[in-house]
Amino acid sequence: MTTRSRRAASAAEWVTLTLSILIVGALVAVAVMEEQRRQETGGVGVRVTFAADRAEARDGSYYVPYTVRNTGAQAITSAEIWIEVFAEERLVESTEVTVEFLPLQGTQEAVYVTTADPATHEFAARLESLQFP
Amino acid sequence: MFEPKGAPTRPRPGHEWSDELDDAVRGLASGFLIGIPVVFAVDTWWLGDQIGPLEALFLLGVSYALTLAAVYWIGFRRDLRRGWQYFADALEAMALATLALVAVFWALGQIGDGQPASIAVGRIAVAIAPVSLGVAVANHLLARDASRFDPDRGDATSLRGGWLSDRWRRTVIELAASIAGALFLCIAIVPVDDLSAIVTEVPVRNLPFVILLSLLVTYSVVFAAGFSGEAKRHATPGLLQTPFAETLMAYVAAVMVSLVVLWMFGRLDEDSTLFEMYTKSVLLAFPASMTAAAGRLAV
Repeated sequence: MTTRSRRAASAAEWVTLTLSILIVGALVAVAVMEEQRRQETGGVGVRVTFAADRAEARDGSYYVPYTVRNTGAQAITSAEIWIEVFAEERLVESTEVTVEFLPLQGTQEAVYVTTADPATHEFAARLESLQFP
Repeated sequence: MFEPKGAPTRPRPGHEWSDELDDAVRGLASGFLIGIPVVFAVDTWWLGDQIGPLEALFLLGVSYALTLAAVYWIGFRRDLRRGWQYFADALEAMALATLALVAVFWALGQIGDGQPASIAVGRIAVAIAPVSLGVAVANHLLARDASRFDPDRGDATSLRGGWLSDRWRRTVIELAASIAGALFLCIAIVPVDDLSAIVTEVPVRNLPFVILLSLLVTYSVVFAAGFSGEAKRHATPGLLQTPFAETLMAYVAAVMVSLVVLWMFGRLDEDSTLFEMYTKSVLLAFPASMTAAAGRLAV
């Protein structure tokens, strides 16, 4: 035996529903905006920034912080990067590093350990290859 | 839509706001219980990092459809719903799941700690389905006001520990249930060693937030959510039977179980530092305390 139920939603239910629409709407809006930004950016890219001024000297080595940022329009599964150290435009050291899981706009902070003094050497990064999900 | 004759209807006069809050907290607690094994998996986080905004939107849409189905058949509100209210309830379940995930990921330092918005959306989109489904099945997961300390005659729980006084028996049964609940989760998580990656990913400064959130969710599950025998629970006499003391006791039990299981599977040994023991046990106790709470509801 069934009967049709008729009743109005309470004010509390309306408030909850409004808040829910705002929360889920915000989530969807952020995703849409990110997609628009991704389409405007286009292409793939990785930027490596060295913070030589924050380098620390310890036990005869220099610990140079650097940041790898995904500046492209696609998440990156793996990035192979060559870090090169120059003394007056002469290459004195090069090392390959692999960075995994770089989401859109994602950053990975790391430290490069070298015997080259950052005060007298230049640091540069060269992208070798990227892998995508 | 048709409802069985005599079904309870809302709003209960004078209880609209408390009913609404009660339903929301019950849904949240249920969402945590169902969703935490997926949320507390580093592969979930990494998958969320790798998906694009369009894939995130697709996952959100699928999650909404699944939640709508669960809300229709089970739901998290105290009364039967009709028409558009199912769609509204599914939306509310998604909103509650979003809030739960924001709280968990924020406590673990996985969003709002310098990460871009795309990461937050991706991680939430990947993990939202189990949590919103958990919210949507709250009525079924733990029946409202079913009794915990008023077992049926012949119920195994009612026959255990007869040699103890009533006061001690309740405390012992609750402690045992907490340990069993925590153990259930720990032996599922520790062997796959997700924890090592999670320990690496979570900033140390966030551990106090993890402890606080563990206590808050555990308290909500057992005492504030209107789940099994809540009224009796508040009135239960016995050692450590105040809400705060029982929540704290269950949390300590979860931490101890975490330490034991970590040691059992070789994730901690005599060479481990005190700090390593602290970080691993606090992080593992986060989901374990929730299943410990669920264990207490089962007795």
